[in-house]
Amino acid sequence: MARLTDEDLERLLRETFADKEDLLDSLPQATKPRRPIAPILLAAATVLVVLGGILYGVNRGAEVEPTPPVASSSTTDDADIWAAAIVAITQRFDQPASLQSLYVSKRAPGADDANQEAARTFSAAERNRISAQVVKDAGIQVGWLGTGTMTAQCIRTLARVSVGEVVDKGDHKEVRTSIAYNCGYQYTVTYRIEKRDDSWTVTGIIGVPEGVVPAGCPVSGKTPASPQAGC
Amino acid sequence: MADTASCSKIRGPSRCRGVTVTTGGTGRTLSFDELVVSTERRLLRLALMLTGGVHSAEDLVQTVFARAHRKWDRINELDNPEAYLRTMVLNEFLSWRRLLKNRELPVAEPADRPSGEDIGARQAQRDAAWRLLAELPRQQRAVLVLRYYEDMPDDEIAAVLGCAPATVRSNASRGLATLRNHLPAEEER
Repeated sequence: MARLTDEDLERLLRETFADKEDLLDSLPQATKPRRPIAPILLAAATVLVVLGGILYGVNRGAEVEPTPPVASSSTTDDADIWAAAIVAITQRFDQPASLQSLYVSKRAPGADDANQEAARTFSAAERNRISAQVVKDAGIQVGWLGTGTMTAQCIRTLARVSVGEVVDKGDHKEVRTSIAYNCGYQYTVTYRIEKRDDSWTVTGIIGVPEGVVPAGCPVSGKTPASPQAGC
Repeated sequence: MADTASCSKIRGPSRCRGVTVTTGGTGRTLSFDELVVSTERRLLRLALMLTGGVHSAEDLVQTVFARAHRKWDRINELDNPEAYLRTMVLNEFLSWRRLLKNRELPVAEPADRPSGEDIGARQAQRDAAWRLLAELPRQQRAVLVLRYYEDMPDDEIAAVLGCAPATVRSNASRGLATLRNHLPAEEER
């Protein structure tokens, strides 16, 4: 048996790094992030859920139901519900095929960024599931933005979708969803989502959508040299 | 072409005021979104080599993009924003407290772990090296990644890490020594 020389180690390290690049293409099934449960985070999450419910109830106006909304507990279901909402709102584009990439963030649409610092981001599992569903159902690549990173600048080549908490309404779920596109235009809607044939499906909208429907202002794959007139 | 005469050196890539960031020499200004799209994959690979875990790598790069967005007005004036982001990934890795308590833990044996009979001792040796890299001090691991993954010379590594070239060589030597002491020796042919 011979001890490894520096040259052997150098060759081995180069092979190792090249070999492990593939890990990015297939997330390992047998790992999980260890996330210490800090009481302050739990308290912050609780406050957010309660505030989200209150804000939602205020926005519903006369349609407020007597039962307070509660956040869904199923990570898998939540991810599928968010994916359904994201796919639905991208279908508002006249030419969805031209929309190649989305940034997705988890925040309450309509709230300003300063209030989102305490909001949690998607977990890795949620991100993976949402990405897979959106690519499968809409053929659109998904990127991620954390809280407090909402860009205020003009986005022409990409759209930004924000989804709020999944609100359990008993026989269905509701998700506040918004899409920002093409230099600050925004469309916000609350989707009614139901489970049909073992998959979550958008079955309607709640209340009145706000903003400008993306029709007529598709996000193209090219960056225009100047602002698009009329969009 | 960018005028580099007035560039001042900050930690890492050079910074040039008043220089237009362009793509492919076309003269078109690079937007933050385009920079994200064009660099994300490369930065993720670098972060993977540094952290040893896919999820930590994603968290690391997302953190860097978030910070970069807040400083975009300054970053888009650099002549090489990608190199600046790479330095941000390195600095974030070296100072990331979360890594200490948020490390990914294997909860089962990887299904694709090779046996000596199927794939050979070499693959097993790579897996062993990967596990040992994760246990090295971060500075040593960063030096080995930059030297053998990014193929950077020691003086460039020193500039990026903000230390002396001798420190780079020392860290590399100690890292290699640790690997040598714990890796199974090769069979003599």
